[in-house]
Amino acid sequence: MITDAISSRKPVLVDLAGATDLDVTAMQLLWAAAREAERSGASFAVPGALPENIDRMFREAGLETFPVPMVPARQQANCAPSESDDD
Amino acid sequence: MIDKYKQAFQDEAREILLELESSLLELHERPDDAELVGRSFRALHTIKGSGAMFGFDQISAFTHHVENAFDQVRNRRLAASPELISLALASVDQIKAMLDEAAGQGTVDATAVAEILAKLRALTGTAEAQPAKPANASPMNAPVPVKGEAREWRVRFSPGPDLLRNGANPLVLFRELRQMGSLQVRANLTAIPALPELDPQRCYISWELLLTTSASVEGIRDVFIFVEDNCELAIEPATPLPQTAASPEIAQPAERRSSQGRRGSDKETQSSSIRVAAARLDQLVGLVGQLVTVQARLTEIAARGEDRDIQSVAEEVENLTAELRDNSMSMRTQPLRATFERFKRLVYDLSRSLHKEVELTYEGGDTELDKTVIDQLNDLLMHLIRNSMDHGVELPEVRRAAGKEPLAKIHFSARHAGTQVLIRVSDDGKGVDREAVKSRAVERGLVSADARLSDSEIYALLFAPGFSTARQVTDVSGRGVGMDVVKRNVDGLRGSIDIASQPGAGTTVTLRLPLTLAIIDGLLVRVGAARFIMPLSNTVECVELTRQDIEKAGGKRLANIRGEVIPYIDLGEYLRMNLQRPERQQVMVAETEHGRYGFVVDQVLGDHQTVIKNLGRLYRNINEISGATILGDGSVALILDLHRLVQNAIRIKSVTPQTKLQTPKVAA
Repeated sequence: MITDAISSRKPVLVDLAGATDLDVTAMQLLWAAAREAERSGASFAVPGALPENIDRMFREAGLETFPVPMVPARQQANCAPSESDDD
Repeated sequence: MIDKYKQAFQDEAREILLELESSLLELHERPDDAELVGRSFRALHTIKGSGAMFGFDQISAFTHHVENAFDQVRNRRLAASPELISLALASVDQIKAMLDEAAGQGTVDATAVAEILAKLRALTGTAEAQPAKPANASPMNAPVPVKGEAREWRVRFSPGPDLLRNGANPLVLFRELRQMGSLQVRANLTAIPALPELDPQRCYISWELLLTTSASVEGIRDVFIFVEDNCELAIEPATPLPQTAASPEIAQPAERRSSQGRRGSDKETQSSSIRVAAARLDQLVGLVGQLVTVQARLTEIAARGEDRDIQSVAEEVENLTAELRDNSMSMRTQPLRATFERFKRLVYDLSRSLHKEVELTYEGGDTELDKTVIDQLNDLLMHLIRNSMDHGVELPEVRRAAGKEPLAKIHFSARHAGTQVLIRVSDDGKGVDREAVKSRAVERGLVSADARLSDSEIYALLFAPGFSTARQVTDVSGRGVGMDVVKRNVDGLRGSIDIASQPGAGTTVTLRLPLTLAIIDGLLVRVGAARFIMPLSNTVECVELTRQDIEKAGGKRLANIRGEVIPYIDLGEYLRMNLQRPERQQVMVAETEHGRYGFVVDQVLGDHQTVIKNLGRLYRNINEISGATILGDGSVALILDLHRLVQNAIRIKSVTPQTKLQTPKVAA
């Protein structure tokens, strides 16, 4: 679904606000999706602030920076469809 | 797939628990041995960490407390006292129960767990309010690193593609490493493919870790123990070490493997072996057994015809079948070491409950035996140990008064003898009280008061159902069921049991068990029209025996073979087959426990792969025959137990005529 959205250049927002845990599978997916969106010029972002535990997990996994651009939460209303990943 | 790896964790955790138990029992003897403390700590640490990784949170949380206690021992803040060892052993039991419960077998005794935790807290001075957390719950649980200078290690960790699919989580491993010191993690993302090609369950990331810790390279490697088969792992010092401080371990850390304590630490060995369910091996051996029987038929048919091609194929099939048989059988054999080690715990527990001091030692731990035999051996050895501990070994003060060391010894020994294995259980206790056995037997009406019994006849009474000289029934033995069960189980395995005892010096029980219950190499012989199998490993040579030779020996059953006089048993005569003796016969010479003996047969037909079939309950008392096999033509050949043949022949010769011992009768 993410691939389809990015290839059709629809803006994608990944809402991680309710995520409590994120494993390596999800990290790889987010990283690949962010890179794909950048390559194809699509909008792919996480709205609002990154939950502290998710941020910590990325750092624990050795990813210096969160791979997906962050956008203010209010921009969410302007973006559709949205993809959530609360793995 | 994940269930498969949870099962792998179950199997490996049980192995680690066995090793832990063994280390704890050794630690009980040598509480100051730092290596044993380290080994126990590592085992607990591995169970805790890998338990968390595979979702066994209860195990991880519980083990965390025991690990904490051993961390204190490592840091010399707590002694490896008998109380702690006892608690740790009780914890091992509870972890086993947790594994059982997770496998759907039984339930954990929550009260026992709570009691252990309370005692551990009291011992370690941990506040009761502090909750138990699994290893991955918080890095704040970090145990204090091992004392010593901290080193910086570079760990390169490249997971195999299936690591995530198998349920492993690299982040849990990193959390464990953080507990050992300070950790920097750098992920290498270059292998992650473009989104359309991404397989979400495959691990593309590899990591370079910089760990500053005083833990050893083995300790670091232990963290990866459950994923080591599924990753590339290199651990090396990040910075050159000062010349003076460099230990041999640090000088070549990447290649170094501990020679003890950590099972399966050799990655080459690990990667070249896999776990297979025992039931699958049983199935394989069963199929090979059927193949051997079919192959024998093929060989028989080929021999009857004149077709050279068929004969050549039959020969090739025979060779391949023999090789396949040996290979499949060897897969099921296991050394006895683990079995012997397991009984150290029983001896420890019984010593405490009986207030006796006993040390269990063993030799021949490398002796291998078919797994099916080993499985049944456990019960036998348990009964023998219980009997020895309860009836044989004296209390320390009694031993002192008798001029003995207060510490009693129970010794296991094992060695191969032809197609059998001899297992001896010896103790240096008070020995069997012959008079007490006899008077008890008279009381129970088993023998008359004026009966004159040999030692072996007296010892045989010990195997009578319900027989016990103990006046008091104890928890350990004394119900008179142990030796009866032992005898029955040994018979069921087509083995034998003998007792030798010296008053005041101790008792030795010898078990003779077959190496395998499935297939053996045999020698097919003919006596009259009947055919028998002799285990090939017992046989030495075959010589001719003429009527002239028999006359020369003056009717004595002795053969002169190149100047050596060998006693022999005429099988036709022994088995009461009423045969006409042919002009020429053959003596098959074999090694037995009683020395070299000859067995007179009419003809040696050749070697034979023998698939052993049980004879059933009806033939249970004919101990000279250990089983039967089906020959290529569909007929049946009986398998001879040469040792029992000799033993019985000697017994028959030595007993008085009124005891009416008879040999079995086989139809000619």
